[in-house]
Amino acid sequence: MTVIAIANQKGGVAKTTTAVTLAHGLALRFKRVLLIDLDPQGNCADSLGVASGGDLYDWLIKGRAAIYPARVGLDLLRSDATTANLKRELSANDFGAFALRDALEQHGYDVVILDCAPSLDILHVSALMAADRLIIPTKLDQFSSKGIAEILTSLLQLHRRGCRCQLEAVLPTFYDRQTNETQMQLESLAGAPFAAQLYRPIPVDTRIRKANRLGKTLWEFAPETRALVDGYIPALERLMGAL
Amino acid sequence: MKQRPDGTIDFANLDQGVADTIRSGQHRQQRRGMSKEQRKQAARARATYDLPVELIQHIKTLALEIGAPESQVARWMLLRGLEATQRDELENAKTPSRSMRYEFNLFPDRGDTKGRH
Repeated sequence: MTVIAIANQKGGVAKTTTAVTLAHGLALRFKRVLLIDLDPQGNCADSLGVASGGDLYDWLIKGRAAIYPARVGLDLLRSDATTANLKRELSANDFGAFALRDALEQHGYDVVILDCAPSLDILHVSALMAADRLIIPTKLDQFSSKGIAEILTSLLQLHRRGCRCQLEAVLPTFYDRQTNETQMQLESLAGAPFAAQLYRPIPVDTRIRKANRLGKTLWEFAPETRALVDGYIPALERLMGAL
Repeated sequence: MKQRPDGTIDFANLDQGVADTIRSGQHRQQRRGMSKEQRKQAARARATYDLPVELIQHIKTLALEIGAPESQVARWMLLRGLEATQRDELENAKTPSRSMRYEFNLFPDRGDTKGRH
């Protein structure tokens, strides 16, 4: 089983879109996938067109098997406002940072994807402690480098505490080939120390919003759209090569 | 990827898709930086010819086999053709044309005379 955390402390960088698209893509390639939504906003359920729920709290605190079958080969642990209570309880526990890692040991999935919230809290730490790989979606703007640096710094600190998570990808999102700014930021990322982990950028694509609104994944709504063909498919192929 | 001392980008160790994306972006920026006259000049380097489907397919297949761009395969063939011209081989291939526009054909007159350049 490989556990992949999708994280960035900045919001609106397409973490959930990335998590859902990669999760469903892996399931379509016959992997058994569990997608865990760690964000109280519960956007994974919305993106998949399923009812919202507090599966995460039930699973981690009450020990109840609360897995929701979202698609063939893709199960979902949903999150909602009860996740805020979950965070409080984990924070009060000396071993709260290991809760996810311990809970996942019982499961036989091929891949587990953790869609992290845009905040540095106990669930974020727990996700990195549980994960084998980290994918950082990032917009191509002047603040992107700072966001990446923050999360890599927190990862480095956790390595000293037994975390085995390694950086798999920096995934640029909302790539707009018309603007010089985007090109400049992409070149800047390609000159950074993590350049070898830089994945091909995901093009800006209005169909992503439409798919989210309809509760469908890109694979279902627009399988030939450029965000898939030029972005998520190459990302998936590269990721599968690394699994 | 690191930058070389002269400021150009070193694409070693970079994902091929990322390198291609950066290069196309640089090419687009270059074209945007061109004047209208410069862009016209760049466009004059392209020509459109009517060709039999079999020949087009042959070029495609050959390009795929040798791993080179189709336009380069076509260019190579044209250059060899020009060399043959210089050896007067073209003269031997001429046959009278029934077209009002042209005196000769180089290929049998089966309606291949639509010489749009």
